Amino acid sequence: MELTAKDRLLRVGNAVIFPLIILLIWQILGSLGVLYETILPSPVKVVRAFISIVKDGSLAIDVWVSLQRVLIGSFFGILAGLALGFISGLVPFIERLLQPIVDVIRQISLYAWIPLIVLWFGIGETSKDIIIARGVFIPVYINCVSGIKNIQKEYVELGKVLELSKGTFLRKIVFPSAAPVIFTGLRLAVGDAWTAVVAAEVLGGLTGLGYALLNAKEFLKSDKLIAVMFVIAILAALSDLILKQIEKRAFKWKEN
Amino acid sequence: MAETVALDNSVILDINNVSKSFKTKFKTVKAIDNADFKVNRGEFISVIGPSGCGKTTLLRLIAGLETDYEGDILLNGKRVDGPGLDRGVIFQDHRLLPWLTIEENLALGLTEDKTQIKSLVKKYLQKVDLDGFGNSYPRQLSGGMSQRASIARALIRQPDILLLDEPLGALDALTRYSMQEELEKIWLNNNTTMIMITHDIEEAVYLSDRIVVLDARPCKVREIFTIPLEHPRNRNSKAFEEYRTCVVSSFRSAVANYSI
Repeated sequence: MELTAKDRLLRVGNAVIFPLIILLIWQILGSLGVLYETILPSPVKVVRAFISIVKDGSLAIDVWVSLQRVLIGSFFGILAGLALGFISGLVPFIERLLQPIVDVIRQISLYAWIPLIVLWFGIGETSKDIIIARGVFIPVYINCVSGIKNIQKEYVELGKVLELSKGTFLRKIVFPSAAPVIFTGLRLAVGDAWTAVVAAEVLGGLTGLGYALLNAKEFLKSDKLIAVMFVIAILAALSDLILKQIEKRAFKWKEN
Repeated sequence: MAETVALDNSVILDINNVSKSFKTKFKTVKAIDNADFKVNRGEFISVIGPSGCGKTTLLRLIAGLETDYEGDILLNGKRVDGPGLDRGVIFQDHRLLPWLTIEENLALGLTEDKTQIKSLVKKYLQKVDLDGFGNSYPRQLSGGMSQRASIARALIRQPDILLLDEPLGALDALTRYSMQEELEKIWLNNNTTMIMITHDIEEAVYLSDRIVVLDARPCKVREIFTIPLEHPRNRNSKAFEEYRTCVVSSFRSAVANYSI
């Protein structure tokens, strides 16, 4: 469907109207003094707090620290997810072995894992990387397996009819057909990575965005707390936007 | 097993008393019952029959996509027990891989060296009137063009026999007409034996040397028509009309026998 400039403007308009109304009501209530400042500061206060953490450089440091953790943790989580996912997708026997274990890991919430991981690995970087990797692993693994297993049987038949070698069949048919599903897993994973990093930092850390949240709470700086929350939202959204662009480019063949 | 194989050089494919049943948990369904006919080298054979009668199953057996059957399917004297490059298959859907360009689709799995593959691909794209579309993706091609590309993909492997499973079934009437002519041209230029499943009687009469009419459930050969008209055929000629009428009446009685 081709959107005109007007349509697009309208869509963006629709998407921002409701949040703007909420912000407006929030600000009015704040200005009227209805809200207890320490509990819920007005939007203007939040913006001021944001500017101050940008100016004193603390935000940049926190973002950088958390971003590094997201990158490192995601790297290992994705690697493990892809490796095991591919094997499980291709070898039913391995899948039968791994699936129950993955299911158990998955059913126990990420937050429940954190104390144990901290107990084993301390509150240093290793435990944070592991927590994030655990969060990232699940969607990558699951999508990888389902992408490979759900290959259209028509394409399998084509491979037989053309007498493709095992290698060619995997390279030209199985992997490309699974790739979009796997990529969806990656996008979910990166969203989970931001959730995981904050959780890891809140529950055991001295740096990063999660710690900044905890710290703001301890000092009753709710304006800073909310500002950091928005920053986390923006970072996660931005990561997804980047991946979406890559997706668009990588799977050009899908477009109409 | 067949006791002796007739050493007739002109016979490329011998469907010899072939039966095929599908077993489900509760019952066994006989899909094909003693189908028996021969296909000569270079011939264009159409197989028509009521829908659901097992035509496609028969083609899949010949293609080697189903291997569990009774009787013998002898291709060049050898019993078919799996897919092979001596048979090209055209499915109703073009089945081009959407992530590969047309060129890459044609070249898929070829083992010749690169320059050879390149010139082969070029040659076969020309044969199906698709030169210039090598770098396009399947989504950029129309239905008729995609089906031509899939024919080229099959022909490039130079199969002894081309198996077409309702190749034009998914196309609109107009495209279908011109594709029938295209198919005729391809067949005349390549000397490839072709077996086509179709439910379009006019299409069958237009293209075929012989038409095999199947009975339904279980599928067996009802009648075989020989159409000795010269190619290219004139759909409006009196002879064409006569053959068409004959096949239609045979097809009608095949359908009449077909009770659900």
